[in-house]
Amino acid sequence: MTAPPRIAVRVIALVTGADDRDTVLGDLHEEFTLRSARDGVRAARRWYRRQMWLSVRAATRGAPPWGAMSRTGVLGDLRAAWLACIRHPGMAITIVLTLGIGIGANATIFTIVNALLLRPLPVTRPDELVTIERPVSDPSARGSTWSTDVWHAVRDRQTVFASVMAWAPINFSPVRVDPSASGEVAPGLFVSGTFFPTLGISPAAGRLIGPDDDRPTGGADSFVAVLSYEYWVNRYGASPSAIGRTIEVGSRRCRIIGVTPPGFTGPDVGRTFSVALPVSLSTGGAGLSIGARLKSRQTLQLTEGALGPLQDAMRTAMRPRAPASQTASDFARATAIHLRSAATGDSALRGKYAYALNVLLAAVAALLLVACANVTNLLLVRGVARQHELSVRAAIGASRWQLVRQLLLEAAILASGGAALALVIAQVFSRLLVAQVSTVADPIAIDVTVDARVVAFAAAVAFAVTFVVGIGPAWKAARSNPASTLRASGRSVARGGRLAAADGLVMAQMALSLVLVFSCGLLVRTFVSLAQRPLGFDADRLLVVGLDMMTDVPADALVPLYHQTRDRAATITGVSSAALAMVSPIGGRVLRQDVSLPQGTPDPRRTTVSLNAVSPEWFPTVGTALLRGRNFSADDRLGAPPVVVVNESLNRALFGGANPIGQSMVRTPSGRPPIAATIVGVVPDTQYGSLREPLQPIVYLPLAQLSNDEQLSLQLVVRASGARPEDLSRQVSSAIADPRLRLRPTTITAEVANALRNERLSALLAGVLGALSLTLACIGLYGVTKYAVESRRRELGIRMLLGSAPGAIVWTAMRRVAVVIGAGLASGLVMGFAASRLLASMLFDVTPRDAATAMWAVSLLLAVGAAAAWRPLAQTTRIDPIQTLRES
Amino acid sequence: MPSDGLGEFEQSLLLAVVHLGDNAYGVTVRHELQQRLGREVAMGAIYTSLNRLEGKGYLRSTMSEPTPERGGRSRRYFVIRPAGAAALRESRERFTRMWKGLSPSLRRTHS
Repeated sequence: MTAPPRIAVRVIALVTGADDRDTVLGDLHEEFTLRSARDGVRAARRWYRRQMWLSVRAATRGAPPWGAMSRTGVLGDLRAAWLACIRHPGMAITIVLTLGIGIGANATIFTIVNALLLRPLPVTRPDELVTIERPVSDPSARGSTWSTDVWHAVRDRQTVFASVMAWAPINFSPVRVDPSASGEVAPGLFVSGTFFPTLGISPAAGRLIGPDDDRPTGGADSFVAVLSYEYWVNRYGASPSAIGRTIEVGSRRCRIIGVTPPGFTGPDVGRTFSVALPVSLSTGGAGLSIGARLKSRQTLQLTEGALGPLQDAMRTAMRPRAPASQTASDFARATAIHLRSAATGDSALRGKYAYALNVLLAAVAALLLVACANVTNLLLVRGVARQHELSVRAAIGASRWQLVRQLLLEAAILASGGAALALVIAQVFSRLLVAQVSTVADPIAIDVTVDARVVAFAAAVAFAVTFVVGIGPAWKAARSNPASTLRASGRSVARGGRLAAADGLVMAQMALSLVLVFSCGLLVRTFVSLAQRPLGFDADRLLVVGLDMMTDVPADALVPLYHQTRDRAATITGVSSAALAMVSPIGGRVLRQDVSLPQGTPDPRRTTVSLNAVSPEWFPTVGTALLRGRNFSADDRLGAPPVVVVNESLNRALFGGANPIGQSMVRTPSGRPPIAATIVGVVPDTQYGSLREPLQPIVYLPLAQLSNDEQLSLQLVVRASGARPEDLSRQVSSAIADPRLRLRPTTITAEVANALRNERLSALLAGVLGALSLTLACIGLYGVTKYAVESRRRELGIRMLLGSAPGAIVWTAMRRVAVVIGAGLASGLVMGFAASRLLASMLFDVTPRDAATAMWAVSLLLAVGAAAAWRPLAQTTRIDPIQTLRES
Repeated sequence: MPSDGLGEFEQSLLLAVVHLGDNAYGVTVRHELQQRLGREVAMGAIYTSLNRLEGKGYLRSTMSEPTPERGGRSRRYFVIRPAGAAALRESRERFTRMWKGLSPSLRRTHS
């Protein structure tokens, strides 16, 4: 038997009173059955849905379908409040939109906070999961990593946990879905055999890696791999036949045995994985994270107290690798373990974005306050307009509490509407925001769906908003004396108190808007300064490929391998030149060393410089022309006299800008004897490391003069001759792919965009928030000015009759507006300077108290404020004095 | 007992109940109204008025056994009480008095 549409049944049940609900639903069901037999199910369902609309319409009009239900009580009030709201749809829509924007901005940021910090991992009983940590110097860093020996000790010796697991994030390269396909770089995971059982997740297809698979020689299935659900869908079209096929990961051919469930993106929030391999296949000695599941009904604290034996086992495993110089007590301190709850997983993004998210939360809270001020103002105005109605109700016996309750319910209905809109806004904008932060080089995959926690947040904010915006107007309206109000009925009376409250609110709005606009100005200037910073080299056509060894290649074999890789890259069509370097031109790691003039020179100045070791092709490849002297050549190798090329900054610092060619310079590598080298060339200054750092002295060494074990990880820099470097990336990667190497391709443009994405996003967000709050403040200002003019029409009319010039009339009306704007901006400036100190660490090339930016913000607000107040003010000159007198 | 007058919708409802005899419940009442007045009324709105009429003592309602074609819910049957019949008669008489001698001249209305 077919049933009526479920949603329609629910809605009808909702709008029908409890006494009649069963009978009404029964009648409708009966007729539905009749109709579906007579007209067919589709027509019957259509009819049923029509009944839903009829019921809702009847419920919202005067005739309540809930029949004889009492009209007092909360439901009666709710109905009255609803009717009051829809009686002025324009105002209701304005309020819902305003609150929707205010709450929506908060819900958007909260959605991200929720996804990043609060949501538990999609695994069995996530609150039982912990990670094993040791003391760290940098609290924002990712959790501790451990060696394979320590993991084995933990795995074999622990008795305090229900089970333990280990994993390591890694980028696999190349990954080939089938042998003929071109390789790609895929984010991956090394996982212990206990990883999936400990998390307690079940496969979407096939089976997951288990303890039997986690053996250096491979399990029964030889080498096995597990795919993430997303990768399975994208690369295999979610085909069940993928199970059992071979995938090439790095140098290994692995059999796909299963797929993880949808929604599971690994233990690191914000980083997905495509392929997971058993950790025993990891030979690079990658640091492992170690996690565990607590025994049931054991707390983290209790377990931590019982860690003693495990601690000893781990120390035994760590001792052989401890530096010989470390004292016993230092060793004990550095290896003291503790547990951390892993219920919400781990994330490198947390440390990175926690500060920005906090600043953002403050900014959206300010926006919400501005929105609340607007709504309070509107409700105050409406309260005045409804004074008569409320007085009548008070006169016929409604208690003050009943009136306050009804007005609060109205505010609650409006706030709920705002919260509903906010959830839609949050769903759309949190995605947009994450997409803005995510880059190709460093994708961020966090699941920003609106879940129950976000809904609860929006509801809580709406509840708070109800009281913030509702209580004042409600109290004010309910407090008025019915008798005097009724007597004065219909006459418009300017009430000093109400206006003072409204003025204060607009002042606060102007102040908060100034804070947001000023902060936005500072962030925009920071972004522009950084984006326009000259790099000192031609960055547009550079592709940078990070080269790391994937397996234990001896250093003596590795360096020739790197050079072969460079030679191979240089011959690819579309590549004009290729070079090797220790440090990528921008955004890479940073090497520093002390240099000085040789002993015996009259002024042995010492300075700290940035260091890079490069192959001879480096300068032509990055597009840096030599200013003086010569480039490195093939003759500058180990054993030949040490030479260096310096940049202009260094030349200035050590030689005061004089010609340094042929001069000698001493550098002091840490832990090695000083090396004297001859300067053979000078190049222009270039940016090094972070974009935020000033141009600094740089010393370039020939790569060939370094010992092999100093060159374990190098950067291959490739100049594209015509095509965009992004397009070349795949070609280069597959041409130089080698099972022994791990490749990390990126472009300078991407690196710069990557380095600036936080700045760009902060400026963008501050701009959006500033614009929104400015718009709201203007609406508020317009409303208050209009009201001020309206309520003083009579006074202004009389003044006109008495001969005041129109200019004087406008001035009278304007004075008040000017005071409001002026006071708002003054207090906003004070608040802005206080707030911008919080931004200090995010700024570049502009101080938190930058006067020019402050001036710019103040003038913008003045102009916009004047524009908003202009229309109502201009209307004062068109007041017809006779008409105003007649009205009163 | 002087009645406080029946609204047009209330009269229609009461008359529908009378027409239906011992088979007057939500579905049939609504059907009757729809057939005779050509208006579709929300089920909830019908019960609102039926409840009010029962409260005034014009109607009495009884619940039937639950039936499967109603999704396991009961029918609520209505029958008219003497007070309801009296109120209907009175309404009719009032209107008849008001209409008396009016019908022919009603043609001469201004449009």
